[in-house]
Amino acid sequence: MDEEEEIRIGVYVCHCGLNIGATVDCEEVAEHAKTLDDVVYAEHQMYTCSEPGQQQIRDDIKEHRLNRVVVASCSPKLHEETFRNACEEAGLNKYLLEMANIREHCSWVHLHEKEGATDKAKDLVAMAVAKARLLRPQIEKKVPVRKSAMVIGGGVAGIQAALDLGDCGYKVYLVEKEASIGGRMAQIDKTFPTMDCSICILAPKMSEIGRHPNVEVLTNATVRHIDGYIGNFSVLISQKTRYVTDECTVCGDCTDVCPVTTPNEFDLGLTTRKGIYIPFPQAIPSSFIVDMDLCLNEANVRACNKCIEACERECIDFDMDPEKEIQIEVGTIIVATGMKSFDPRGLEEYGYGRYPDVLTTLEFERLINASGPTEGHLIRPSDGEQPKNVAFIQCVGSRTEDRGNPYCSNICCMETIKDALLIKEHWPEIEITVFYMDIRAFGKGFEDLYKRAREEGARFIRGLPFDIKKNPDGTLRVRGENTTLQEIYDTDFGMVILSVGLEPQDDKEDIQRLLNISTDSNGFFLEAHPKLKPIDTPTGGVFLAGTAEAPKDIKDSVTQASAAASRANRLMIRGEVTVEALTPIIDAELCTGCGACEKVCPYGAITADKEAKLATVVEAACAGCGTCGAQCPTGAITMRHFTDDQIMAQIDHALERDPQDKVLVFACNWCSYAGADLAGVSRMQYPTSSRVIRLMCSGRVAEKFVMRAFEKGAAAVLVSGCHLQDCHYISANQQTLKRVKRWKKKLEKKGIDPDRLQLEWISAAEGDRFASKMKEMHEIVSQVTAKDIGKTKKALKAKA
Amino acid sequence: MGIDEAVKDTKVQMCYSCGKCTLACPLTHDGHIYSPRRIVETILTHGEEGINPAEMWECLTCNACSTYCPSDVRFPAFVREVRGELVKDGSYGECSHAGILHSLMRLMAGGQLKQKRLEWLDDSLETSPRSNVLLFVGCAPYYDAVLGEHGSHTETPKSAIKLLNSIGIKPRLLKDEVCCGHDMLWSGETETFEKLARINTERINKSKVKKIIFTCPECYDTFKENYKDLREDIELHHLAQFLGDRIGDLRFQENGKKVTFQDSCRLGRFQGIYEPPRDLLLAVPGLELVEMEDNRKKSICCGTSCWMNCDQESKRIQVERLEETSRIADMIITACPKCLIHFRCAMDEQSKLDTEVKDLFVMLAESLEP
Repeated sequence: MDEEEEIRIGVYVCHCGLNIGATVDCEEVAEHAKTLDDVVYAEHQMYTCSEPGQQQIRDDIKEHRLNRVVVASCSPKLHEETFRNACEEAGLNKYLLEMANIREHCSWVHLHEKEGATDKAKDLVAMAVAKARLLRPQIEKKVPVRKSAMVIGGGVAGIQAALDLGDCGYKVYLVEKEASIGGRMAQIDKTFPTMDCSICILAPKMSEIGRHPNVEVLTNATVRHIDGYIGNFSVLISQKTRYVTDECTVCGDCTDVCPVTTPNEFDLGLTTRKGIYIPFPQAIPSSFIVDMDLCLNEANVRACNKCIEACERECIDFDMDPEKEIQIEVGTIIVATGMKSFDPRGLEEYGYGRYPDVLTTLEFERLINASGPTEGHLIRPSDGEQPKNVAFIQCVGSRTEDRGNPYCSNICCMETIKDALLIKEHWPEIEITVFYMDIRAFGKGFEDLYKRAREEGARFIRGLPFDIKKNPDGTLRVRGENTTLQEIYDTDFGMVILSVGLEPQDDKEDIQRLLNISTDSNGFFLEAHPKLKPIDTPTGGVFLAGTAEAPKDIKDSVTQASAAASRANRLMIRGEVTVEALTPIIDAELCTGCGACEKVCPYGAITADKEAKLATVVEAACAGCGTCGAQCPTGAITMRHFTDDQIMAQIDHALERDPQDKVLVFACNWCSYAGADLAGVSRMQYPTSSRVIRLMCSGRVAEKFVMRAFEKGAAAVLVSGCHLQDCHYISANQQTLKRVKRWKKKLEKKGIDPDRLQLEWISAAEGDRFASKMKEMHEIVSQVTAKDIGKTKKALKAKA
Repeated sequence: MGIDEAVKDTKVQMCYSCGKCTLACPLTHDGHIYSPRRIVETILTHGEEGINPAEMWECLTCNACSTYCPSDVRFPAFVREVRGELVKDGSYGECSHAGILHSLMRLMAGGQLKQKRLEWLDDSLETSPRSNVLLFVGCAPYYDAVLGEHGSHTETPKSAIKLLNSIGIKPRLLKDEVCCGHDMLWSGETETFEKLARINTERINKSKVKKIIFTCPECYDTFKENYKDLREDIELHHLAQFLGDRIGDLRFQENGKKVTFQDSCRLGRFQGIYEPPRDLLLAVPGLELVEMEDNRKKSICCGTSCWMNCDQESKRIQVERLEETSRIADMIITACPKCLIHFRCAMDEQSKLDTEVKDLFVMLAESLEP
């Protein structure tokens, strides 16, 4: 585009039905927009994102010769792509669109402050227009996408995703930390609502994947490091050795002679296993493995030879390296790391761990499994007798604020109903009582199963037991209130099964850091959008499947796994992907080759040549955080689409009216901006004083932005970003931390209260934290006097 | 705070009606149900019309219900707020001891009362008016005057000073201390509580006190949770916790008793202090500590609170607790003066109970090496 060309901006203010329109006076905002520089057209619409709304933009671009478009509506994270496409369809470069977020950041969080919200919306539109005036068209770079994928986690979700992708013809690495794939589903006896034998339907899939020419199963393996970006990930995996070669025929001669035993994890400690063992009969790989923590042999110390002597095929080799490293290159990654079940020991009133006949649902699954500890007989662990009656207790550790997890675990009601039916099927004489708060049987076929359980005579009593005590005869006394009858029950049972909820895996934080993804407030991985991108993560090329994302049953896990495979396929089938044009441009005139940028770049994507007095950018390695731009002392770095001039213009317009009442907020695209969006979606109310400027990373915030805000009279400034260990640009926010500390000192030296500048880490899941920080910032604003602001302006001008 | 506000503030509307609270409540037993769940549901449905004052005064505010509540409903705090509203309408709980203790509290709240609070001090106890460690004595001297028939209660502060002296601390005492206000706060007399809190706060704030040590869990909890204007730099400690952190400095002689420990509501479920008193008892050589079936979080209230509504229910709870003690131990130890008095009263009425009740600090001070 010709630099001299006249700027012609069209502004569209969306009512979003009543979502914006009921709080913000959209007509007034559109009228205000007409008064702004270079705005040649402005209007308000009911739904700008609708087809007629988009058509209007396309028509106006032609009719009014618009060359910049500003849409004031929802978060750009929701509809930026929509409006960018509309612009492109009308022949306008998509980088000439700017959005003002007047829904999540305005109408939804100021529901009862119509005037304040309308005023704020006007400012947000003015800021967007100011940035739009300085926007330049950008050409996006295409990067190749490798036609290979890694699936982390070998439960049913991981298996399904790997099979789907393998069938599409891609090379797939299935990485599992345990000795066999199969996950929780392999431990379960029957599935609901169809009462299928769990391992009978899983085992064929397991062996299929073991044989699949495109799938490499890496068990006993952990992902150590991931480098790269969408389409091009380099992954370092470490795999512990099995000490048994592929020649193993699973004859079992070795295990018979092994002298050491330990509780069997697969049977949850209800049985034992040997030092050389196969996790379960259907395990894949179908091979024995040595548990070196248990084996009498150590590296270079041979204390026991029994298994080696017993193995006719000579498959056992203690001289193998204990661990090997595997480097793989993949285009996409699917996270299917699963869950663990809640440990009810903390609810000591139920006596789990003290009374052997109080079991968890997963233990019960093993107990009645034909290959389990009792070969499928329902007997009490304490005395080997069959119980006359069995109680199930629901919501153990679920829907529990302080002593468990606040969420509903989704599967426990149906699991109990299924278990009750299983007992009734085999031993109709055993009486079943289910103690519950609410029965949630919402899925296909679920209500039928619930009815069947009632038909078979299972009793459902509303009211959770308060405690369980053991009687002298060994039975368990369960006491609580039948809330329907408002009566006390005080009943003896032969066995009590705690229907425990699901929890995130212990190693979720490792996965989170490796992939730069977030977790929600419960610790499950956060999807890119709860409705429209439920499989994607904010990190391009990384997808979610199964219970790692939220508690769910097998059917939902498999459905989500196929969806994740489909999302990964969508990227890989094209073989290339465009990445946003956000990399820096170096001005050779201004650059002195000082290397300040090189020192702060988390990717090593910028190198400075002191002799040539010039820095150069490796575009493929650059992720566009802008930390270099904030560090450059000569202003030689222009961050595309987030230029200094654009940000300065946004600051100036945010603070044009009544700056003494305002908080200027710098928010990073991935976490704190998304946190602010979540506060909006959750309708968390906070004062209207804030004006948010979105940057890709808090590392982009330069000293001059902060000082400009104070010079303009802002009462307070907040810099916000991802939590330190969660930075989406490896460690760029470490620079933010250092810088803000330095700036606070600088402010103090100039006699400006350093508390007016604040730094807060807010994750995408912490809407409440964003809202409460806004309230706190508002408190600071109310304490800053006109005199303070006058003094600040003078102090900062003195330097200039 | 009105009822609507109290419902929100104490999370009453979050009740799932699971019913755990009904059995957690020590008032529930054969034939009698006290169900916070049902009370809450009735008030949520019928508003103020749903309030049954008798039920509101019956609650022991022991926090057992809230401890086991999956929704974190703060029922005792809700009861406290409702009682405040009831008092405004002229409805009060039934006061025991002809209301004399409540009257004393109201008298103290006037601020003009010249008290002889420290008559029990003797020369063997070292105190220092300039110390920055304050021992908040509480109402033990009044208990001696009103309830002396059940034994002396000033033994507790005496023992506390002895224990502190043994680790080199000479505490300061306030001559003009007034009741902490706990009982007024929890029996709905909010204004009287505010007055008492103001008097103590002003007197302490202007001193140079840095630490306050309490022997009474109710005083400790009230200062910690409800004294909003106390100087922020003052540390608050219950003596059990304070000594529990300094066990290495205490020197005990052999004591061959077998004891059990009664967790009081304020020290245990309210403040989460379960282990320090046990650690202290176990530091006495030869002493054997056994646990009652319901201990720590699950401990059972001593049967009455705020000198209100003491009746056959209270006696039943106390006797059951003491009977269990007599089956498993020589004596029951408690770190709360209210538990002490209530159990002693039950003992005096039921002479067949073969056990002993003792204050933790008295027990420890007796066991100190001479």
